[in-house]
Amino acid sequence: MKLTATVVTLIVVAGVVILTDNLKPKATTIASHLTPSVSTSTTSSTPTTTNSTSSSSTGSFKDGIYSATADYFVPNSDQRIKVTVTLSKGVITSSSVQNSESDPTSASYQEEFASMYKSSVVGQKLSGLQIGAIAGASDTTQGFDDALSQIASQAQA
Amino acid sequence: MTVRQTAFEAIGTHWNIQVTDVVDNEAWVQLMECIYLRIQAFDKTYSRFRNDSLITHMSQQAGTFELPADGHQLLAFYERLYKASSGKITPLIGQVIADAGYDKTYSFQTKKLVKPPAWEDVISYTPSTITVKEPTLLDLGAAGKGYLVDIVSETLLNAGHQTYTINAGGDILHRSKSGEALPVGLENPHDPTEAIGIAQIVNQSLCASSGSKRNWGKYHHLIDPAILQSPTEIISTWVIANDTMTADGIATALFFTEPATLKKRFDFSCAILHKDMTLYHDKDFPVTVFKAD
Repeated sequence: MKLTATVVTLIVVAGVVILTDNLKPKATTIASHLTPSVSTSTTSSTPTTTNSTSSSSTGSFKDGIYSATADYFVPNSDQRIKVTVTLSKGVITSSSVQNSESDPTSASYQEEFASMYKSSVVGQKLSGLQIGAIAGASDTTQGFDDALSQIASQAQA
Repeated sequence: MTVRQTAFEAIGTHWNIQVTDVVDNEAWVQLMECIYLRIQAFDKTYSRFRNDSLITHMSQQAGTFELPADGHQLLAFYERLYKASSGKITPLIGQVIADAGYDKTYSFQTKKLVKPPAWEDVISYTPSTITVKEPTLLDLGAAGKGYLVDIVSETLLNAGHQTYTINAGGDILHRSKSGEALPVGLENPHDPTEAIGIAQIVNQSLCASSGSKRNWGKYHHLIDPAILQSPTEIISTWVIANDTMTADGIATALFFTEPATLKKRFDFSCAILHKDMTLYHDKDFPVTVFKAD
């Protein structure tokens, strides 16, 4: 059930940007699908990239912000990952990776739970337990419950 | 020494206060009255279910409003949580939850949902005022109750009590002079007559969050502001922290944001139950779980 960590590698070789995501066998490798979505100049004035190979490139890419998306599969739904890079004078000045929002808990699957204990659990009757309190969903008031059952009976009528 | 217990209904849930070191009966009754009035005052300010509340006034007109002395700390906490959760926990979710049907009249009729605006576009505050640039329905349900439990605890401490348990609908603070732990059952969201484990707290707070009771149609009381849907993969969360506001707020935030991300800014330990009944818990979350095998 656990998905391996999302790692996206940006490689710039001879002015060609290759994005590889190491998600799953089913993941799509993005290359050459890049289309400039914004052609205005970037806001970053000091390129901070560590990708020094790009500076020796032929610079066949225009300045701008480029983005691409790729799909990958997790149980329950397809997920989409969007990678955006900003090029200035042939150098990547910034990059970002955005997961799709189609499953809000998707992010939770990706790396976090490796450091936690995991158990498959079942319920036991409270009557047999030595406890001083119970913590769960807050009990609702009579008003809430009444309104909800009223709605339910209207729906059935 | 007498153990005294008071139970009442307030701010939309059941309260239970147990104090083990009561010596003066009359003082106890007065103290409980004082606490009840304090809770009512909080409700009158922050409830979105009351016509006379500050929250309701702010939903009807833009402007700058006077904030009670307890307001700044709550808003500052919300702002921290807003940033730590990348905007997923926001008081601006109020209109969304109301439009989804959990409104003042409990209509449970869903209208078209609109994504809430960004905090900085609408809300600003000072230690004594809050300003909304447009009429805005806020919901402080993610941490308000926990904060109120902390306020009640402060009142008990100031009255000289050192061993007590406050339980506001499952948001629990337990203080013990002798260091005696309180065992707390973690409610099975599929069956409130069951627990899936027992946690222990002492001089700490434990809060839970679950969509298992406040739900209607395809929604429950937690709605993701980015996609306008209620989370379904995680079904319950439990958080232990040194104060109840943190435990309460983080329990809600865990439905949207990874524990590691929140731990960069908040101290807590947690347990997270997924819909397949897999429980993940921190190694320092003191719990005995009931394993399926």
